[in-house]
Amino acid sequence: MTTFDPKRPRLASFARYRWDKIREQHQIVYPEGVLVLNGTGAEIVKRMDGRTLEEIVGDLEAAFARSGLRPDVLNFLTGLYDHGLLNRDDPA
Amino acid sequence: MTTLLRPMSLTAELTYRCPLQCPYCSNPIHLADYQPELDTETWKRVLREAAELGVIQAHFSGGEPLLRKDLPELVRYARECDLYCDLSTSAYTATRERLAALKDAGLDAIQVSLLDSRKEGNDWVGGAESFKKKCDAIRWAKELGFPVSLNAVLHRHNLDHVEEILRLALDWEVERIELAHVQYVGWAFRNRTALLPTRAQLEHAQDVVARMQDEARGKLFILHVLPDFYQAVPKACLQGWGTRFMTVAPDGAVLPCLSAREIPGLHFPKVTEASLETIWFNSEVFNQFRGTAWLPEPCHSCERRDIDFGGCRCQAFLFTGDAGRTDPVCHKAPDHALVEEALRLAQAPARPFEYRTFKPAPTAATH
Ligand code: SF4
Ligand code: SF4
Repeated sequence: MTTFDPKRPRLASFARYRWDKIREQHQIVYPEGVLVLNGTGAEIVKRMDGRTLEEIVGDLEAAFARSGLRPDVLNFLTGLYDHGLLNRDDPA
Repeated sequence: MTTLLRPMSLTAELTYRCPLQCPYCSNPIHLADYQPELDTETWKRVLREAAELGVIQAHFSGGEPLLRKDLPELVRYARECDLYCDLSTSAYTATRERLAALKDAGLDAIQVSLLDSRKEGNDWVGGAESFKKKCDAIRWAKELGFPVSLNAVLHRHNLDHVEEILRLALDWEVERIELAHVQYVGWAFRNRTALLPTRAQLEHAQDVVARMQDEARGKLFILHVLPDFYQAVPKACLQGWGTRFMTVAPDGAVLPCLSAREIPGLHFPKVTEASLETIWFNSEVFNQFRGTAWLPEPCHSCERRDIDFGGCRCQAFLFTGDAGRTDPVCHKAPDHALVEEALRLAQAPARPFEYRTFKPAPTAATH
């Protein structure tokens, strides 16, 4: 998966981010299940609105005053991809 | 602990009526016994109570949920309750207008059943000419912007067409396809000898699916749910009884599993008798097989007991007459010979189907 490099990562059309107020969880919901996100994952997903990968990484690094987040973001996106939850117009 | 136990998914079986007659339908055999159907207001209350209880997804299914005129109204209400909504349909009665109304109501996704890649096979298995209607409905759904997923139920008569089925899904540009092998409960158990594939068929299909998964990567998500019959250990049915899933049947009965309804001796409370919350946490039936304390041997001392919870209760009942036994699919189960026998019979030429019907079911057993 070293070549995995989506340009404008977005959630698959059937997947929706939601905040579960009963469980106090960030989630991605799709027909067959629910993926629970940690705080970082949620911050990434909230930025997947048509921004480029570089913009997402840049925004996160600015928001959390950190650098070198690109591998973490890619790693997270790969996980989504393997769940079939990444928009397929952004192929690997 | 109570947070863990909250249900995540509600299957709203709006009706048992259906224009098709699939011989593996998961609806109960004695369909006509479960009437009348809940009215619109009661369904709305059920959806609201489900959301308050922690349910995240509402799966509208049946029978054929499109036969309910109030479907768009129910979907709209479920979305207002912050439920993710999807629809499982045979598409037989779909029209573009109806699908558009559902889009407008906020339906998140549509799942269309596909019975075979070939028209003749599809129409034969469903007992009605549905292939063309499915093609139309899938096209309309795509045009309307719905994510579409296909649900292809596999058995001995279509397993060899699995590549064709996947190529159709690619041609139709649907988002996902779920290749699900028949679960041998309900009507499917009656028809098991006519439906069970051979081991050779299954192995071949697995190779084909693996190859196609590579080929379709990035275009089509292929989910292959393996049948438990040819495996050494059972599946974790429902991910545990009363753990994540609940089903409300057309007449309001609340079921831990949609095929559990015909297990004698279990009493399923109705939504008209108690709240979903009371039924989920306190009813006898939801607690009966919850967790692992109730498990018989060999499960109780098995290292997999927290993984598969002793397998499927319906399968245990259908084979052994006792829902509390180890799923006979398991190689360690005392009743495993019964499954081996069913598989042996499946190698023989297929028998004719017994199609599902709303008429009182014949009582003659199939075994
Ligand atoms: S499995 Fe077939 S008969 Fe049963 S509800 Fe679905 S489409 Fe109708
Ligand atoms: S013995 Fe019971 S717990 Fe162990 S694998 Fe078999 S069914 Fe599962």
